[in-house]
Amino acid sequence: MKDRKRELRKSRSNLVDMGEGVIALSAWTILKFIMFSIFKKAELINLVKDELKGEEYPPFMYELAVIFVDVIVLALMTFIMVITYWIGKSAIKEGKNLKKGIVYVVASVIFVIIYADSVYWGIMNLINGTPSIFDDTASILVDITTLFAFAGLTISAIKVKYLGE
Amino acid sequence: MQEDFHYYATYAAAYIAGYSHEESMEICYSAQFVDVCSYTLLTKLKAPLSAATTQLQLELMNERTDIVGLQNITRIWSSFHFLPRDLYAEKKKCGKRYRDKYRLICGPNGDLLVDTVNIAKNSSLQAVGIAMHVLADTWAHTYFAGTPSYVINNTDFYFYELLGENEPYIEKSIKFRHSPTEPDDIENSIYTNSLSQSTENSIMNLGHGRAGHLPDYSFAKYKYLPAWKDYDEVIKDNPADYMKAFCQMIYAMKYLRGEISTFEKETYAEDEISQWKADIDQILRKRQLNACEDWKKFGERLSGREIEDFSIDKYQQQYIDAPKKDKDYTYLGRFFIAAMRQKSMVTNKIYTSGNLIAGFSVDFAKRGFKGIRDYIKLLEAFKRNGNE
Amino acid sequence: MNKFQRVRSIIWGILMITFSIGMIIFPNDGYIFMTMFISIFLLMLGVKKIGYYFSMARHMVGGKKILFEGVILLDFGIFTCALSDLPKIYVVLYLLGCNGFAGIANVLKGMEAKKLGAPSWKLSTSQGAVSLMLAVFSLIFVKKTNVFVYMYCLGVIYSGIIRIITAFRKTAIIYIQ
Repeated sequence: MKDRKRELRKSRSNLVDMGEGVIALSAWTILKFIMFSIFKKAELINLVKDELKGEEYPPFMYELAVIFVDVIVLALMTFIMVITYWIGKSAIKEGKNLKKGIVYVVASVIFVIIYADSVYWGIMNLINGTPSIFDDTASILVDITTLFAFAGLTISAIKVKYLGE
Repeated sequence: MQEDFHYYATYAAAYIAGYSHEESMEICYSAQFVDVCSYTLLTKLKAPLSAATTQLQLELMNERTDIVGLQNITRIWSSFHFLPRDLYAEKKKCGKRYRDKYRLICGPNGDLLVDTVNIAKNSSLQAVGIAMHVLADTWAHTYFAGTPSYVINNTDFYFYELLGENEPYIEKSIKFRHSPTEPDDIENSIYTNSLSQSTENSIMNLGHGRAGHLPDYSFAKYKYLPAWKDYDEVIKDNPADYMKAFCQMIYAMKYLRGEISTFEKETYAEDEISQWKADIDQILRKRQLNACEDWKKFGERLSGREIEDFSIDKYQQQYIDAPKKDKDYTYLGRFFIAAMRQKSMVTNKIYTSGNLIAGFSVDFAKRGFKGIRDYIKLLEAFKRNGNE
Repeated sequence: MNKFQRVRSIIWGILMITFSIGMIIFPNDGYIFMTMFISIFLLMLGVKKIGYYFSMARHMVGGKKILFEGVILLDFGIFTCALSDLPKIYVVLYLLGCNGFAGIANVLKGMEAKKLGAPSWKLSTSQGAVSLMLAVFSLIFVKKTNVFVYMYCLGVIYSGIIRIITAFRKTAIIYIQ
């Protein structure tokens, strides 16, 4: 009985930690993208030029293209961030015994699959050779940690539901 | 613990143990002075800085957290406020750095407590006062360590006050806020604690800062998850613990007076307080931020004499005016020597256990005098008569 | 401190002072080095945090937070290192943070000392005032990279001197049975 209560406390605490973790990691991903857009604008423009090789456009068109891509990506990231925030917040509330739910657990499983896929392709990219090895390694590290956070969240949520009965 | 226990309750315990009113006043003044003897005060008095028994908040904020800074902090707080219970405690699957901090966790009835009481034997009343402060704090500050450590001293959202006289208790979730100027709201279980800082050696993670003043309130009964206890919860019953602290102080002081031949752990003078137990219990359980008035009335009822309120200035002029050769014989001079002796002993015990967090200790018998020059006073006191 | 720690502290102190003087003499090159040091500092913060998780925080209730912090810091550090030209805002924030916080702490400590009647209040207050002045300078002279280099180097020289002084301090306590 004592062990079960201890295990329940541990699972609740993990659930809160993982909930905070997924929110923080997602927020960082967006922040990093914004910083990248501001401080590495020149690199982004070169990327667009590479994609449109052979075609010459006035310089302002490339900037416009970059802004357009930034807005689309930012909108998509914000949408993902909102869902992640909801998952994290639900996990925190369940961990603190304030609210119960199941939908966020299902959403978390989906994110586990998404991030597992992202990690796999990131590692493949590294193996096949990438020009920016440090940046890509760091990104994979963040993806692995986020995968760990979502997986941990899912497992802890299931444990809490099982032990709490 | 606070002034209510360190000053007034210590007076009462000293009187019950058999000390006179005047002796009890000297003892309780010394016990409370441990909480105010800072570097800033010592600088003002031009007294040895090594006699510091506490650090003000701002001194702590300015203290460097390099090796030497951490040693200074640990020496002060482990020696006087968070006496380690077991310097040889084991924890599985952890590195030396973690284990060193784990071994500094405070608790009552440790071997160091016996050493603390023993070095006050045949010593000054100031030494008795210091020993009583240390003893009392081992009960209040159980489960926290006197060194900055996030992994030992942190707390989390699992913190509940247990309300009601008997089981089953009503569990009320405690809300912590970071508002040092506002008093704790005991009616709504809202307390001030230190800011969460995930740096291991941050000052915010020293002692029981993360639990606010809760350990120092005699009425508080609560449960929480200590960071080091692997999700096992602890129930901290302050009324019961403070009662034990009071009884143990009486027992210790009876030993120091010579009425008892040895000081043993887990022994309490419960018979001596039987006629006052209900009164003491009432004071301890009363929900109030400060129990000074109640303890003062109790102490004055015991002795029939007025207990002067604590004043930090009381003995300062005596020390300042004394010629250099006589300073060690003043009230504060004796206090400083007793404090340095306590710090020297605790540092030595921590060092000989293989733990370098409190720095190096040099055995005078083997290597002669080395290290901080302030401690020459201990040597002079020893040469005078082996004791102060 | 043991002998090895003292020697290491002295060597670090000397290196810090030497490098800083070099950067003051050649401020343009100094700025490049300064931005490099700040980037490496941020990177090492992340590595340290992750190391801290595996050595200490994994034993702690709620310790996983440290892992997440470490990974974010590491990624932030790598991102900063990868920037070919560290934006001035990083440098300004760094100098503002270090000097501003130290300045406020010292001034408050001086006020507390004055309340208690200790003579150390004059030193604490003036130290605080100097730090706050440096923090303000980092905002005023935001366009002058030389000023950043001088301020940064002043801080490093001060730290270096403290390290050397600390290495010579007697820290052992005598124990008489």
